[in-house]
Amino acid sequence: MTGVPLRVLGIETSCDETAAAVVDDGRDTLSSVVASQADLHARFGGVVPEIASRAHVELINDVIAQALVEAGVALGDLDAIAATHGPGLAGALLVGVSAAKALALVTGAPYVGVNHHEAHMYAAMLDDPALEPPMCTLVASGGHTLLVAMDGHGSYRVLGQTVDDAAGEAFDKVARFLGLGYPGGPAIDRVALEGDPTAIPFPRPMLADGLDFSFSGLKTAVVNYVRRNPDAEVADIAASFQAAVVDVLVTKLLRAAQETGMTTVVIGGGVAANSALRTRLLDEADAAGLRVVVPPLALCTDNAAMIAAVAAYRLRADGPTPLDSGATPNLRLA
Amino acid sequence: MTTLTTSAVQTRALGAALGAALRPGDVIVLAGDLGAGKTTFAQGVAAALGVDEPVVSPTFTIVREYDARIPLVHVDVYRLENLGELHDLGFEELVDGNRVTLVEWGDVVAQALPNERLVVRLELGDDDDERIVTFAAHGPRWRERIAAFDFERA
Repeated sequence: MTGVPLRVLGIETSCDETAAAVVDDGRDTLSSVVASQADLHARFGGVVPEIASRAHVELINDVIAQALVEAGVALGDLDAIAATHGPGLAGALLVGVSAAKALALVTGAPYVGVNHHEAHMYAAMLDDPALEPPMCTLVASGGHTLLVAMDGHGSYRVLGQTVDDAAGEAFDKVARFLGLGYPGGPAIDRVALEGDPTAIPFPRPMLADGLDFSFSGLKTAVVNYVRRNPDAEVADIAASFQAAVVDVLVTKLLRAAQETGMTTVVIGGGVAANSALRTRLLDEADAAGLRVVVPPLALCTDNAAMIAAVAAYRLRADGPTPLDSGATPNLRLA
Repeated sequence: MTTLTTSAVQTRALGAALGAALRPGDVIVLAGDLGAGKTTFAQGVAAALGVDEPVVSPTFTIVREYDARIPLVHVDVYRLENLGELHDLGFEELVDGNRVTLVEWGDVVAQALPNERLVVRLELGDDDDERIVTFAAHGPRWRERIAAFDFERA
């Protein structure tokens, strides 16, 4: 990045993580603090919006203070304050947006509203500071499954997305159905280690069909299988279900790279923390001669370092976000 | 009123047939277990209302709104545990006379719903692709309308 370095405080409250981080110039993470509400949500089997909003309010000030202390930075040293302004849960987003705007008013630093999807793509650049677009990115989480061609900073083409359930939602719902608890991704990942991924030939929805995704039918296939085979090993079901999801995600990401002619592939979002997905993608991208960036787990799941990272680029390209702008729960990428 | 569909395509078509008969202000509750086809049915309803973008699961965001010939609000209360949370979401403001409201897993929050509503229950049939779809009218106006609804044409 060119110009005077920008020191940015990022804030993330779009779902069930309350997070704050300080990042220099979109690449150098000085601190990244994440407080998760997963325990609070576990007994409900998913994120409960009202719990999420209340918990964000209770945690946000402490999380921001800790991010500043760990970075050794005072409020007055910040060049910008950024927050996720969409997509996400309306009430949860507003907590982070309001905190960022208040700090911007107090410090006089510009406020930058950040798209959560865009941030997941920049997470890989925090892991690999030499990484530059063009690159093909898969963002897969509880709320979203997106294949995006990043042609340059701020320049995106959505190549594919889910037509029904998100990949992470399928993990959550199947885990709940199998009695494995929440969050479903780590629960299935763990149980699947003991199972045979080839035990049950679950469908690979839309595998041969373009770059969009569908996971609703796979979820139904698991329900039907358990109905017909009540004594089947849960570990085999989990492993076989996971293999089907991973198969579809990896196949489509590599197809997207092939179709766009891009030679770098990147993953982000909570589902990118799945161990089977990481292993399979590294193997196959390597075999295809592609450069692959699989960020560490802490950068795949929701965090604020990625928010601060995007903000530096957005501020330089587009200037500050007006203080009278709000949160947009269904914000689009392109 | 009960009917049988034998594929996801048919379930979507049944949703579309209902959608074509809907009017602004209508509230439809979709009930049924995981994988029963609630979102598939909702996609059919949405298409008939003139929604021209993908209707995806609203589980994560709870509420999705679509602009169309008759605008649609698609709500999923799967993750809510009590009526207080529904109130906190501003649910009362979502149901208005200008659009159709579809509530998945809505039987959990029946008390908070308007008296005039149609409950569509989807259940797994004997065959993996079969769905038993039951229409239950609540309120006098819906009872009249559902009696006139032509399932054979659906």
